Amino acid sequence: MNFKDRFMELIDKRKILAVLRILVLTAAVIYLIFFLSNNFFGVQDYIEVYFSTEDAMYLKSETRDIDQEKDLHYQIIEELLAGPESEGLRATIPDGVKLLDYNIEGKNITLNFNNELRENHWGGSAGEMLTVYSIVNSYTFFKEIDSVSIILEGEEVNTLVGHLDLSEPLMYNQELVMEE
Amino acid sequence: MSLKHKFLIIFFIFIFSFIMGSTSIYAQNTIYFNGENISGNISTVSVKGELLVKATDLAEMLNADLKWQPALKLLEMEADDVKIKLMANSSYIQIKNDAIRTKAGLQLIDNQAYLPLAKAIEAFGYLLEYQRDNEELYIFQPETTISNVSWQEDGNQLQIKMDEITPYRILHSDDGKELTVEIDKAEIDEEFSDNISNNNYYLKVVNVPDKALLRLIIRSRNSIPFKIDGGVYEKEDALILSFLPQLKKIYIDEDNTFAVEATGKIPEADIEYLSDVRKMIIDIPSIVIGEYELDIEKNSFIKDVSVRQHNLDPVVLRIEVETLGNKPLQPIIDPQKQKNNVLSFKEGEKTIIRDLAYNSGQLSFKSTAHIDPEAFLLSQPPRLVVNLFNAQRGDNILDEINVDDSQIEKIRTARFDEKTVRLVADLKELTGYQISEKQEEGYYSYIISLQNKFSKVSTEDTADFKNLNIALTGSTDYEVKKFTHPHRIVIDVKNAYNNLDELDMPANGGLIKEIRSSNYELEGEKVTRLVFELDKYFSHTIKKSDDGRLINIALAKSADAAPDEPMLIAAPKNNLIIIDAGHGGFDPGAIGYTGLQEKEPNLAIAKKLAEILDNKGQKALLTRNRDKFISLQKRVSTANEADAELFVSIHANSINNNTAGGVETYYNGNNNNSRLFAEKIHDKLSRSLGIIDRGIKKDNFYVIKYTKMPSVLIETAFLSNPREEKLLRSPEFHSKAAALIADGIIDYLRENGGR
Repeated sequence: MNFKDRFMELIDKRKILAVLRILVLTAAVIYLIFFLSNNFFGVQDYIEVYFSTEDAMYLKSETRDIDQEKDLHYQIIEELLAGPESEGLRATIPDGVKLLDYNIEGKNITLNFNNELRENHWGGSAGEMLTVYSIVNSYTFFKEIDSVSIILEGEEVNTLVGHLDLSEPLMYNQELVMEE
Repeated sequence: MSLKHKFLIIFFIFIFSFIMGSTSIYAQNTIYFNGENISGNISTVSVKGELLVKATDLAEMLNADLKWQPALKLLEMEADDVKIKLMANSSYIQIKNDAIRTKAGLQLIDNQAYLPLAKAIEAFGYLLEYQRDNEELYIFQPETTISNVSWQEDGNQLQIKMDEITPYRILHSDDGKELTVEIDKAEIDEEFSDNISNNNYYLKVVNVPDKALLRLIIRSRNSIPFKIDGGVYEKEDALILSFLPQLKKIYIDEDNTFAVEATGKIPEADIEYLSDVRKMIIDIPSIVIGEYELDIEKNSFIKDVSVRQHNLDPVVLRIEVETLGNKPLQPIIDPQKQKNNVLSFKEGEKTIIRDLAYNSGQLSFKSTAHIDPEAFLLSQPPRLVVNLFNAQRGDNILDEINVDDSQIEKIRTARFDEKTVRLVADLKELTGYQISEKQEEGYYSYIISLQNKFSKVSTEDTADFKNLNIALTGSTDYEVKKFTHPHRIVIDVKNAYNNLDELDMPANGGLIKEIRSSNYELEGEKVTRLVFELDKYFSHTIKKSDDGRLINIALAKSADAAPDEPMLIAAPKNNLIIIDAGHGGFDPGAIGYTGLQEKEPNLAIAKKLAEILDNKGQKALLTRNRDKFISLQKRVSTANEADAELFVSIHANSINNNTAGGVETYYNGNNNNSRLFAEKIHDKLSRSLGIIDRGIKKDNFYVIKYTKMPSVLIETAFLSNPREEKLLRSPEFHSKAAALIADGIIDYLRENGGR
């Protein structure tokens, strides 16, 4: 190989390297755009649903993909009813509960449940707190919702089973959430 | 009817009309003497159109001595050192060296002397007023004579000169433009001089004889600056009405000072510059418009001045000044206050702001003249804004001062508008502030201090206690909480700036494992949380002192010696404690693992608790004492209406799994002491009930949210847990739980002393 050939070979290598660099950069930019759009500009494509810890002290969330076929607000309650996937967590919603309808006004959502939410409930302050706040925390995960009002078969209620005041909208409860 | 009868009737009519006719002129005169109707006590006749009174009646009325000298046909009457003489067939009344001419003179009728009433009575110094309309004659003896009404003290006082102060009243019309001074039994001196009527005021004297009083009615085109309260002074020979100072003159003097002069001291005026550069509004309190002179012709800087009484209650005079130039008018502060009745303004060199500096929470600057800084806080981002009107920035004022300390990031200055300099302090967090002004040689210095920071955190050991002392720069709201897992004392201080990083913190060791702080938001309020991590559980008592600036937490070193100082103090007796057994009636509450209904242990424990408290001298009241449904509202209203000291709700817990268990105590922010109350009870339960301690929790439970007194809701144990359900069935557990709760209540009462 003479000097010229080697020289040409070097040029070729450089060309390849340049092309590679461009490719890598382009990929990085695309990834960045994708990443940013997903995290900062995009719509949340998952939900977080809250379940009770085994000792009934805290709530802990699991993520679920949003089912595009369903109404999101019904999906949340379905996921809550279906219960947790991981061990050590427990469902908080009694059997037979149905979300009859909901109404969003401003940043408050009013959830209208059937009476089974009360009638099939196991009672207790801890039980009531975990049920109510698993619902409240799951719905307020979305930035569009700040507070949740719970009504039963269209009627406003003071409490679910005798403890927690439901006459006013409830906000996300951080204290009940188990820190990771 | 017979002729005789007719004759009689005609005769009577004749007689009647004769009587009526002959007496009509006089008899219809009603005569009042010193306000009393004396018409029936005196005989009068009319001769030559003059009303004459029988001399003996008059003498009696006036309590006068009467002498009749038949030889001379001379009548002498003497009363109060006044002697009058009248001769028959002479029309003169002689008083000392004077003689008053009358029409009728002394008349002898039926051997009785009659003399002219009006003239005679005037001679004796009585006043007589005849009101033709209702034919009433008033005679009264004035007790005081008003000789002069004048302005005093440069128009600030109205002086009514009178011999003697008789009862008086001062009335003013609704529009404030008429003032009436009503003086009882007063007469106007013959040489009375009215020295108050002028362009603005008009005095009218009205005699009100039927009430034997005199009215001085002062009318004005403007409202009369009479002080509604406390404006009247009585001197020996005068009544003084003090008026508010009146506007006297608005003028521009030789050295181009725009001056507002009043007849008295001008209080501090409120000066506002309208956004329109050329308009200034001066609101002067307690000054009345009055008759003033406006002399602003031929000047280079004022276009127009308008003056009006902006308000009467309270009195505010408003002067609007429209200037010609762009320079504002600025008040000249006269430090010696020599002329306190003049408010002067100079065309404006704007105040120069200089020496802006910041040092540990204090922002200071100097100004060449007095200014009223307008300060306010803005929250997003947190900043303190200070507007300095009519000001400009001096040479040494920078656009920006970088501070970056615990409270302030930086201070910016800018010209906000034509006349305003704006200072903006970018705060780390919103904080209180205070502005102070100090006048120094040739300038004014201003200090804006930010408030509420921690000034010192220290610990101190005594034999039995370790004291945690937290000192703040200002009084603040705080809450002390105790937590377990890990053991710690938490002090939440509201709306204070967390400068703990800057302070020397006590060393860890001894009881204290670690001291840390954090900031967070609690129900919309910024809270600085200071945490003392402790190596084990300690009883604690909280004291606050130094006007709330010092928080002292005493940790008892030994658990026995401990809670302990207070233990010696008996809990105050007869506190009403509401004990609320949860659920009841058709509401069974939670259902246990083997079917125990929550309402049962709730009631059992509640009843035991009531019994123990009764034995301890407290007054316990159960919301239900049997298996009966009581609404949550009713439970709350029972406690609130009874104005109870404490509220304890007894419940049993449940969850949809049979492994969870333990005791927990809930409180709510309904009352500042609820947290402490919960701590006192939970301390006992967590240590001695023998089941898992699930801790103290805060939540919006209905009964503890709407009761007003310190209140807790206790979840004694879990019905859903088979072991605990068994406990909840046992009377021993009921007694134990009740005794522990009672201990906690008594502990709380000892520390808080009840009411």
